[in-house]
Amino acid sequence: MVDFKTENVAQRIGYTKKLMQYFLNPKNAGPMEDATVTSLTGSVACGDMIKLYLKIEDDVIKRATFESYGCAANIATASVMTEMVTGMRVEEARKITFRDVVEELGGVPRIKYHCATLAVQSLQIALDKYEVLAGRKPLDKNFVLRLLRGILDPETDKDLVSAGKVKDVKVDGRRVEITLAMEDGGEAAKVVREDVTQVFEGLNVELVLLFSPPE
Amino acid sequence: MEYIYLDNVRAARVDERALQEMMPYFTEKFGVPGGEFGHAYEEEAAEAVERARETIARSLGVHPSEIVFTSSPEESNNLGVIGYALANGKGKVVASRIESSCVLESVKYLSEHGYPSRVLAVDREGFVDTEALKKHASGATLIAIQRSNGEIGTVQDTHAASDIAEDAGSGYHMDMRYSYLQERIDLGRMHVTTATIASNLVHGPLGIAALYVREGVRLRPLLRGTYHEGDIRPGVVPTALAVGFGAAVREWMRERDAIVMRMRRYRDSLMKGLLEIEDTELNGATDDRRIPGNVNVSFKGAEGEAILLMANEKGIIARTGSACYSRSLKPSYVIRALGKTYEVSHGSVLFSIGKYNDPSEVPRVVEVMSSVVEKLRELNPFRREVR
Repeated sequence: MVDFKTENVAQRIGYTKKLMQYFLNPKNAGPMEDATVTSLTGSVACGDMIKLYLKIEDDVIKRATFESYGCAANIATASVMTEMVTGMRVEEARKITFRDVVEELGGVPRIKYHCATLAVQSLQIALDKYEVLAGRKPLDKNFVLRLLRGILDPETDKDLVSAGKVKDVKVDGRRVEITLAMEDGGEAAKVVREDVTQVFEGLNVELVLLFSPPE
Repeated sequence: MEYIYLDNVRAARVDERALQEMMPYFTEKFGVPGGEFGHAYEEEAAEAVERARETIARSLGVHPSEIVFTSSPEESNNLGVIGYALANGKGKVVASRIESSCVLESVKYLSEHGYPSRVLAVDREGFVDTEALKKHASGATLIAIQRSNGEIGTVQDTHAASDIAEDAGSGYHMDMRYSYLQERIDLGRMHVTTATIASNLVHGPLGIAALYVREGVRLRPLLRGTYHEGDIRPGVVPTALAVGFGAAVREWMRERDAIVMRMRRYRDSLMKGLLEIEDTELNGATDDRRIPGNVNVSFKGAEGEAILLMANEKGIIARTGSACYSRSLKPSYVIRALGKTYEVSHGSVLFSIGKYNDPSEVPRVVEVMSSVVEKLRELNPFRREVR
């Protein structure tokens, strides 16, 4: 049991044996052809990205796989989480927190907690998308903002919403128009465009991305 | 496991003979150099330290009185930048964007204390634009341009830079620790006011470094106390470490040509092997515009920390400029200064070669790196789509 309040940071520098095993021989790695839903969180810019694939039948997660571009903690947290959720009901999986993932690995260096957060966020977003695809949740502005919270802004290392980069979101049926407060044409815009496009994968929406740099 | 160690800029193995010569200075000869009338122990220590100082001075083509022992290259760089500026006027301080952080932080400190500063950009190979330097040199109190960069190995045209400094009437601080003994540098022939070298980078002990201070150049001490070392810093010189530093320099100088040639061969063959891996890009300059001991490449689509840990498992030790490996979670500012993408920064790996590395190691290094990179790229969703 990891006590998050009293945990000694000095003792947590370095990875546990279990984490290293999941990193060196990750379980459930690779894409899934027949996934019910996918999600993408993180950003190439931050060197920390997870793509999650879930096969869900009758509200039960039958299979889960992942792909990753990131550090050892990123790979290990994503991998162990796919094992944790396999066989779970959707509402159970919704309750998983980053602490559960950290604990499952016997601890993660504090500076790497964000990897576990990212993994859990990718799960939550995938489940959100599942609910939207199933028609149980509306495709609305709140949902779009949730998706955008999963993308890191390369200029600030915060997510796009927290970084104040989302200027406007308009949803009209399947048409989603997002206005970002950043300069178009630069490297940051390019990676954000790729990431946003990926995030909406499988939702069957018409995505319009506008860039409007702050004055 | 039998490791192949390629992180010599972080910490390097101490030369065996240097270590042997140091040992008595921890036990029966434990004294430290004294003042003018030292007792027997102080005399013995003073002789040993002065011998080391002479060896180091000779390797640089300077006078022993121009060598100041310090505790670290960081201290040397702080002294050379802040210590010089505080004693020599209030003009501009000019540095390159890829100076080591102790130089850049020193420049920042000065700019917070009334010194105008200018940090110069570098090109894609890491070179400072000599014309830009010329333009910004006028009115400068100090110019700090490193001889070579520890991360990307690029060797600057410091002869031109020091001439520019001289013409502008400015001091010139040169962090030359990564070039020291790998390249022939005759400080006596350059307009350098201060220069930094470090013991461990030439296989001497950690915990000691030096600052060359040209005859007649004034520095303000940064630490207070009873001053030693030409009234520039307090704290006695650790005799054993100075002896080790001197002996390591002497041992390197003894086989200098052979060592440098071996490092160069290692560098060239490693660089060639790694660049044959698909989507791998060289960071820094090519040919002999880079120091013999440095190879830095980026494996696109794989993250540096993951590369390093996996390579470590297979017996190869290196470093990365990836954000994930740093405490600040920021990618290497050196690689970013080259104008390279985030992806290239995160995938950058530094192999630093020491005198104990043998070129016969190269095929195994290339084989391991290639398999590690391939494995990590398989996990990368963007990578898969590219294919």
